[in-house]
This record gives sequence, structure tokens and C-alpha cells, in this order.
Amino acid sequence: MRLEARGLRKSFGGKEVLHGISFQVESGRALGLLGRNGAGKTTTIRVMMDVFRADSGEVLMDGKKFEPRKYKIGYLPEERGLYPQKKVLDQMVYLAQLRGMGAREARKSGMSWLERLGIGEYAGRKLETLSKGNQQKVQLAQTLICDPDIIILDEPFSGLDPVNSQILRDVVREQIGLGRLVIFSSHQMGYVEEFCENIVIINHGEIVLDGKLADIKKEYGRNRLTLSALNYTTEELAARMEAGFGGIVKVDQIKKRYLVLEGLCKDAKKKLLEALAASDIDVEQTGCYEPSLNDIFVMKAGDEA
Amino acid sequence: MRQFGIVWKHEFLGYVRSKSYVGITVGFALLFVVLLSLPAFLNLQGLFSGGGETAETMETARNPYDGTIYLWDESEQVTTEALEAVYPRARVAEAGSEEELRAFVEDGDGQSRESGEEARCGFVVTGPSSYRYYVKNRSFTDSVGDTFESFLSMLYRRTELFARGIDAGTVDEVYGTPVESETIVLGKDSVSNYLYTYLLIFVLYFMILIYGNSVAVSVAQEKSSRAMEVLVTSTSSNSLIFGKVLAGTAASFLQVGVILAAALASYGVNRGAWNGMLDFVFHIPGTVLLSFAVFGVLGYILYAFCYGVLGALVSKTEDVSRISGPLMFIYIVSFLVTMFQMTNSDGILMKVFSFIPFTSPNAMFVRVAMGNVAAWEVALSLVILAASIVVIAVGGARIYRMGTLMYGNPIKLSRAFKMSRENNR
Repeated sequence: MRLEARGLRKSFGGKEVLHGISFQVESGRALGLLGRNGAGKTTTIRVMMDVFRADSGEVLMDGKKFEPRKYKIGYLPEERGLYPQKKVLDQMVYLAQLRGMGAREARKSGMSWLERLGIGEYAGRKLETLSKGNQQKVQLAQTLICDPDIIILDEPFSGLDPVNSQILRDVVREQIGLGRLVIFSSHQMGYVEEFCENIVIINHGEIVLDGKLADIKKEYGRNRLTLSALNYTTEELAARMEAGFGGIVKVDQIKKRYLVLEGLCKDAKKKLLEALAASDIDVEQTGCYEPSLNDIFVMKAGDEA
Repeated sequence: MRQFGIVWKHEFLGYVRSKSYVGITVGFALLFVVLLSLPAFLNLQGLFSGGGETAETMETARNPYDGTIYLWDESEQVTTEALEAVYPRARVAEAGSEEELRAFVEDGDGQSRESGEEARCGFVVTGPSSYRYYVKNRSFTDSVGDTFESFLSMLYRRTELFARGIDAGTVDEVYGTPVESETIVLGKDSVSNYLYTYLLIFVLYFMILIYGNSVAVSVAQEKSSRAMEVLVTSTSSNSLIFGKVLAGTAASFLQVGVILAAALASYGVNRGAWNGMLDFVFHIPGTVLLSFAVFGVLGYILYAFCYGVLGALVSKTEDVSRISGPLMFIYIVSFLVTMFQMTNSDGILMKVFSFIPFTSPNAMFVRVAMGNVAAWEVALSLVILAASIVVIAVGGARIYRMGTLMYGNPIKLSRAFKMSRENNR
């Protein structure tokens, strides 16, 4: 399956909030949908799920108009969405029925997901009596109860302790492995790097970066080197670089433990190593720079503090 | 349609499984059954007719005054013994003069000071048909003076009749002979219709305000708990609002139906034992019940849709009462006008109200129950009401769709409507 958004535009009250969003996601390869708060991620998801109709643009599934009602969709919203005063399994069954499941089948599947996530004993309890982490697991079980073709996870890890995070990690990885179409949205970049082959960064309702994560990292790391020294702090080292190595590299970023240097000429790496060997700098570590997703995100979406 | 059914079932079971719903329904139904069955087991005659009581207890019941009454009658027409018979529970004491009587009423005599008796009054008889009534503190329901007046008047008549040689007993008999009458109502009897119509209007009032509000609260709760986020991606907003409104309708009418059926059936079975005494409350004609059911259900649905839409415009349940205030106001105006115009059910105001959708459920029901209304008028009112429901349901579902996903401060209805048009849904 390939789900594709093409030029989605959406306005509310005369103000355009999506300015032509285009991207695609394939089953078996999770897409990381990233953006700052209010960037337009949730609106994009809602337009794709046909909750809102786009002013222009289209959503396609394998090249044809996407009709969400024909697919089983598991949606885990950023703001947790369940009934606090209803019993856990009862509300899971209700929501599963709305997505086309039979009551008995939903009850069986719901119970098996609750068991799998280690919260089977709470099936008959009211949701509000559960801890935040367990409520989050109920939310995940609700998302997966109907064995969805399309899974949308918006901040699924918030509120989970490391043990529960590991359980959820395994589940997400399994779903991707089963060939589900997964859209993963989170501000915890570590998880996005772990699961997603492709990323899309939305900023102010526009796509500012789109592509394979490995390629993006390579692209952003190209011609950049890291350097740290035993006899200089990073600030001192940065000053030395600017003063004595001007023609070869320039300081791109000053990190806590190392500098990121950008090569200014051909064979910059080779020339830098030669120059370092001749200098008084006691090199602790140097190598090719691979930016973290966090760095890329801040670079593309961090235009305003 | 399947999703509507699932939402309806979920909401309906949510209502009928709640402890308060079951408690109220079963409790009231049982209460009516038990109360209305009492005459079959107990003799309650005295409760209504007083037939079993002795003349003495009747007198006590009529003149329950148990304070002190002072009397000063220079002409000696009225004796303390006679007054004791009129006021069997009171202490009657004689005063030596009007001044003394006044002082007794003001501050009490030795005995009343000793007992701390506070209720004191006195009568100064100034002539065969005139007296002065002194009272320390006059209560709201004071009837001591009126009783004395009747007594003195009777005494005067007897004395005068006797002086003229006429037998007082004969006069009493002539004056006291009751007229026997029988009323045969061939059309509607507004006098006997009045009470059950009044009660049914009250029932509808509570249903709309309580259950209608619960529809709004239910929508607002789904928004505040963000359950709506999952719901809107799983089902259409039409299924949601229609399911909610119609489930609320079914639950509330089921509750009222069960209670009413229990009361009517119980009264039907025990009507003989009651001797038809409660016909004006429980002997409701089929046409009145039918018009209550039809106009009640449609009126309820109309208001419930409005409540559902209003619930979608707020993000917190605390805001529901604020935003639904104007709607409640409209209903209360319709209710009050109907109440005050009930005795004038064919007046121009009721005629106009019976065709306006928000007021017709009450007004037309009253006109059907108590007034003279043509079949075409009822039909026209129904058509207008039904058409209004369709318009409000369709428009409401659009606004609901927009409103449910907008959080923060309550959204103005006009803005939500504009945005729903923009969303082209």
C-alpha cells in the first residue's frame, strides 16, 4: 500500500494552515511526521483521514482516491482520547465496533491486546482508576484492537516508563514488520530515528524536509567533520580553528564535547589532519560528522525560539 | 446506518444502565403502584371525605386554636361555655372590662404567665351583632376571628328568629338544603383536563431541561476527554449526533413511559376502590396521551439537537450551562406562556405559539388536550415541527463536526456555522 498526500491545502476562518502538503508513505516503512507544536501535523492527519475536507489537493491510496472508511485505521491521538468513566474493555469494544468489528471478535481481540501489554487485569476497571502509563497502554490496545491496515501514532511514548517503552517499542517494530502502513509522530527524536525510514518535517503548514532519513543524514553530514582536543576546551579549540585553519575549515557548530567543522576546500579532511599533526593540538577524537535527527529538526524547524 | 445503531445502542445502554436512571424509574413506578393500590387494602375514606370522624374531632380539626381566648360581654349574650364549645382546644377566660381584656391579651393573665402561653386573643362583644377582636400576634392563617364572627352571627339569627316566633330549625333546613346537579360534558372538559395536562407539560419540561442538558454534557465530555479524536476518525459525525440525540429521546421517554404506565395501570386496576376520585389526574384519554407522545417526542428531539450542537461548541463540561442558557430561556418562555394561557387555550397567543417550532410542542399539546383545534391545524403544526427538526439536524450535524474538533474558549454559533460552510460538509 502506498498512501500519498498531494498538495493539501486547508484554511480555517480565512487563514490557511496547510500550504500544499505533499508526501508519501508505504507499508512496512514507517514515516516520521515531525513538526513543532501547531505546525499542522494533526490537521494534516485529519485531512488525510477525511475528518476535514481539503480546500485543494488530494489523498491517494495506490494512485486512487483514498476512502478511509474502506480501511481499518488505528489512530492514537496526541491528546489521549478515551472515556475516563467507562470500563476499559467496554469502551475498546465500542470503538472497535465503530470501526467495523463484531462485538464478540472485538472483545476477544481487545482482551488479547490488554493481556499482551500486561494490563489484562484492568479490563473491567474504569479507565480513570488506572495510572497514566497504563491508560496509555489501553490507548495503544484500542489503536491496535481492529488489526488495522493503517496505524497513526501521535506521541505514543509519552508517559511511559523505560520498561513500558520497551514493550511499546517491540509492538511498534512488530507492526512495521507485519507490513502495516505506519505514520509516527513524535518530538522524541530517538524513537523516530529508531523506527522510521522516512521523515517529513512540517513547519508553519509547509513541508520543509522530506526524504529517507539515512540520505538526509548523509546530506547534512557531507563535508563536515568532528573534532575534540585534550588540551583545549571546545571554545578555545573553536578560536584556534578560526585563527589557524581558516583556509581549510570553518566552525559550523560548537557542541558540548566537540566541534563540528565544515570543510572549505577539496581534500579538507586530509589537509586538516596534516595541519593538526603539525600543530600543538592534542587530538582526542576526530571523524566524519553524522547529524542527529534532533540537529536536523532544530535546523529546519527552529526558526523562532 | 450500522454505525448509527452502534452509537445509539452505546448511548442508550449508557443511560439505562446508570444507577440513577434505574433507581428513579423503578422507584417512581413502584411508588405510584403502591400509593394507588392503597385503597384496595386500607380504608382511606377519612383521608378525603372525613366521613368517619366524630363531630367533636371535626370541630377540633376546624378550630385547632389552642391558645387563650378572653371574653368581655356586658350584655352576656356570649358565655364562656359557649365559646369553649366553639374552640374546644382553647382556654377561655373572662375579663372584667375591655381594658382588662386588652391588658390580658397584651401581657397575659396569671395562668398564661405561669404556663408561658404566648398565643392570646380576646373578644369584646359590643352589641348583638358587633364585636371587637384583640389579638397579640396575628398569624398568617388566623381564623379565630372569622369563627367568632360566624358564631355571633348564628347566635344573632337564632335570637332574632326566636323573638319573632319563627322556628330556627325550619329556617336552617330550608337554607341548608343542597341542590343536586349533574354535569354532562359532550365535548372537552377543561376543568377535569386541567390537572393532567398541567402535569404532562411539567413532565416534558423536566425531560427537555434534564435530558436535553445531558446530551450537551455527553458531547462536551467526549470533547474534554478527547474521546472525540478517536470517534471522528472511526465514524461519521452524523452517526454520532443522531445516535446521541435519539438515544437520549428513547431513554427519557422509556423512563417516563414506564412510570406513567405503572401509575395509569395501577389506577386503572384500583379505580373502583378510589371511586374515581383521581380521574382528574390519572384517567387520561388516549388522544391526550397520543398528542403528548407525538408533540413531546418531536419537541424533545428538536431541543436535544440544539443541545447536542451547543455541547460541541464548548471544550469543558462546566461551560455547558453557560452556553445552553439562551436555549433554556426560550424553552422556559414557551413553558410559562403555555402555563398562563392554559385556561385560554384558544386565544391568539396560543394559536401563534402552536405553529412556532420551539413553542408548538407545549402549545399545540395544550390546545389538543383542552381547546378546540382543527385536524388541519394539528397536521400543519406537526409538519412545521418535523421540517424544523430536519433543518436543525442537518445544520446541527455540520456545526457539530466543526465544533467537536475545536478546543479552547466556547465557539460562537455564528462562527461555527460559517466554518462548517467553509468545510463544505
